[in-house]
Amino acid sequence: MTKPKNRRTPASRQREGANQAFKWIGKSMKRVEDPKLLVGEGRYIDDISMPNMLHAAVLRSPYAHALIKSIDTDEACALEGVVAIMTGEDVAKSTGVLPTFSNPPVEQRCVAVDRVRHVGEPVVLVVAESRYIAEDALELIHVEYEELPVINDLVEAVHATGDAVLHPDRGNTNVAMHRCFTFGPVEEDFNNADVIIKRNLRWPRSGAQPMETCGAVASYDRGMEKFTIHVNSSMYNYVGWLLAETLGVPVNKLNIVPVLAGGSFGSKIFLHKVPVIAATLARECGRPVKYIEDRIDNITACDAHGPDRIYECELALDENRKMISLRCEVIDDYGAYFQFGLGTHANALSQITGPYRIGSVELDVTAVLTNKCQQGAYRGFGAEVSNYVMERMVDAACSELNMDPVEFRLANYIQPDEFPYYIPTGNLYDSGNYPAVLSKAMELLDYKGWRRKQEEARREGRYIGIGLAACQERSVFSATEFWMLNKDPGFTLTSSPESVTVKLDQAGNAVITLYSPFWGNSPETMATMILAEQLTLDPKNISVIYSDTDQGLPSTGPGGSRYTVMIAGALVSASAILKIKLLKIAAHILEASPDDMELRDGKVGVKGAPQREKTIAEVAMQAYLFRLSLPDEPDFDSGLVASSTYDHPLATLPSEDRSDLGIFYPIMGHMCHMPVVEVDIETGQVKFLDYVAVHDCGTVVNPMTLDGHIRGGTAQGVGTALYEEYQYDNQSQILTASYADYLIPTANEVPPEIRIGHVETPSPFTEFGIKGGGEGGRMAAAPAIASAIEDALRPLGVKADFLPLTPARLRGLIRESQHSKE
Amino acid sequence: MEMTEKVYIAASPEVVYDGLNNPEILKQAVPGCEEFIKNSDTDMTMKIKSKVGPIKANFNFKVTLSELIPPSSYKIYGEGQGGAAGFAKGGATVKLEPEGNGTMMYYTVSVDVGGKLAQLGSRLIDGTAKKMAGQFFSNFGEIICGTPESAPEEVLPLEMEKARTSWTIWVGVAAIAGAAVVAFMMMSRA
Repeated sequence: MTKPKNRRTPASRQREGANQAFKWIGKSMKRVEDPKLLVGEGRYIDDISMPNMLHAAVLRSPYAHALIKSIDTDEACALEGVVAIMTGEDVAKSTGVLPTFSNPPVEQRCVAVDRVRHVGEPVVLVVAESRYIAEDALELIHVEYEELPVINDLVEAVHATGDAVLHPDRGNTNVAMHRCFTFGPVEEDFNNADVIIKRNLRWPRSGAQPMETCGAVASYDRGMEKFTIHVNSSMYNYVGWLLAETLGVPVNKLNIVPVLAGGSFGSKIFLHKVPVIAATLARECGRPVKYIEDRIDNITACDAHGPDRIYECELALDENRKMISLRCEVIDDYGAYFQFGLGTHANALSQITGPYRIGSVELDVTAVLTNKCQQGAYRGFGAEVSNYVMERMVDAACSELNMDPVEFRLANYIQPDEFPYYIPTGNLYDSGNYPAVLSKAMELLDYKGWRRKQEEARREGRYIGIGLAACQERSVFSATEFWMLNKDPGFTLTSSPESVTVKLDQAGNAVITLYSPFWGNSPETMATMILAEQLTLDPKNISVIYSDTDQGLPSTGPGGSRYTVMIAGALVSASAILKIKLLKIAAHILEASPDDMELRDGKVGVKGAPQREKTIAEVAMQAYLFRLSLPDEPDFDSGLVASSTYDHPLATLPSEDRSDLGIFYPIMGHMCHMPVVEVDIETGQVKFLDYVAVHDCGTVVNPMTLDGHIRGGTAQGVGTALYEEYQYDNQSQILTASYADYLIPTANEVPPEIRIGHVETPSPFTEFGIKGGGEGGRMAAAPAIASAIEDALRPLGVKADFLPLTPARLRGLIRESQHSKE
Repeated sequence: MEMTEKVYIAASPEVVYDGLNNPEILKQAVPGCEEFIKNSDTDMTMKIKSKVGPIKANFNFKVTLSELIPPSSYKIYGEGQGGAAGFAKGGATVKLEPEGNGTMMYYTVSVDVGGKLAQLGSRLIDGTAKKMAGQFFSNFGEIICGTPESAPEEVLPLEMEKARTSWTIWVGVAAIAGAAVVAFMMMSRA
């Protein structure tokens, strides 16, 4: 792909290259987060307790679509211990609509007013002296509903009108948005195609299932007219201020305090409903209020269900069996609201052509609203779906044209010398070496050996399959993805910074302040290793804290596999400031020139003079407490503190007409997953015989924590591929609201050993060449497993065009194929 | 959920009829039935309280009867709000026919449940619905005959394992089945 017209690729802002002799980067250092978590000293939301604190419970709609005719709370109010009860109308007097990126907005409130649009939508809030009392009070509330027609099916949603329209204020339709994006000469390419491969694909609605649900503890200081909200949300320093608008207070009258999050996987990227509920009640009662979702609350109404799509896809190939164009028509079931607009499709457009040289692409997307919980983020944020689509189409092409899946991919890959590479949408791939990743995966798996075993097994009537998925892991998002697919974008933010503060104390120990929370990743370990590298500190002497928004600096938070790259940038800046000051002070003490000084193993010394050195501790003491021994210049002002903000390393704006989306997700990871499965055709059970995952996340900071990300993500991908699905019946009653019905893979269902390999193709644009690696496991596992199952059942001609491939469904496919052969 | 079942009651249609006319018997047979109020010949409300497992459900059922052919058949529609537990709604067609020395009762029930009832119980709905409806008639037969009767051909599907974990459906189905029978009794007496 040639560079888009009028496009100047921004110069790299990289300061620290990849080819250095690192002391810490690249080491499997144990996580510094773990000791406190393992001894139960982590502070999660439920560990927050305040004097005089009340507890909330939420009465939720049992109907998927209904008008609220009346609410009788008298009996509940009379229950001893109940402090306040608020209906949607009561709440609306003090609290406004929830934040949304959709434009025109799809209005959502923390408690429904007049109309409920999905099962589980909040209808009444109860706050009481204990959660038990609050829950008991829910039983005493009587709500009268008038049922409306329910929209469950995403195709029906396209055509629904009248009473079946969820948001009549937006017009007589449930189509939230329909847009067609064409990049490059799609029509011409299809006209010139030698072969066109067609498939209809289905991606199921699933979700992240963090062990800890969403929760908040809010208090309201009437004297200061100020809220303080503890919440296990992620992007509180980025978009948390929007909650102030919802609550009707100035931004400086809302302090959001982070707590450890017991898992998120995207689902807590930006909590709005839960903290707003707690805050609204706290203001009403004048006492702190805790509200934590129970599991059913979370599954039915977390605002974070994953994509739910049907695709009609066409892939054009030329006479040389090169892929030239991809065309997809997709309907996406967003549920009852539309908080991120088409954000998940924007995300996918950053890598929609995968690792392949495909010159044009078209995406026709119809976003529909149905009576279900709305979509949010789940590890992959929509790009995991496009990986599935691309790899299914590649497998379909190989299968229909009888081509070798390895040779075909190798022939279609973007080659290592072609980077940086612009894909048709305008996004840039910074770097990559796809053949190296594939070849490493094949070697690690013993691909040829498994092909032989597969042959033998087939002769014995066993169905073994070798899967192959070669996928992209876009990392380090730029904010344009949230709005650029809107027809008429509302809030066109373009920043996605990350900040750190590093303080070296009087004894030379470091405290790093992060402005984004822990949500199950390893931010403290990453920050510790990178700072130790930069200032030659011992990781033992570094501690990490998390800032609230009162003291916040511009930061975005983990999400889109960005955090390690971004804090590395901020830490390089902050440590450079501190290093200069350390060198200057030491130079003064040692009567040398600052230019001749260096940091070496916890000391500041004169280059080439091993005896002439001071420990960082000695220099720090000087910096804090002996001002009169130092020159009377601003450079020597007391203390050793540096705050730095790092902006996105490589991002540009989209074009007005969106024929070029700009660079918005350029730090491009890549991975190749190769599972080996055996399918029992009598029961439909899928068993893993082997699993190899080779990832290229650029420079690896900590192989052990990265491996954890990959294994965890792969386990979630196994769930998506084989088990997990939010099922709604035709009245949009959710049938999978507990873990008795929503099946998460356990240790028995994930591959016994996921064998991991790394290829390191450093990014030329990020510090140290690091790329994100938080999502790749899930982004490759589902297509890889689908591919393996299809390969296993090739003698039967079964196509893995929908997920999850549960035993029952797989049996259905097998039965169908056996019947059609008879 | 839909099911069609028949149950044999080892008593003559006259005895069954008397039983159906006895509010106390019905109160015992419909577990949790606390109250029924007859608003008209075809409309009634009943309260069914149930506390099984961790969740309480207080159903306020509105019941409507139609196509009454006393004493051999009728149709019934019921809608019940269970507050925080959700709702159940559905209908039943019930027929009574003399058979041997007893009575064969045929019933077709279709039930929709919503809210937590659907969320927690849907997976087990079919098996449990059969069991619970069966249990109502079994209770009823036992009360009017004095001893558990043995059906000549139909063995009631009793799967206790499932029943333990699926109280939610029990609530919904027992409510519908209970409502059906109570209503039938009320109509027959009238």
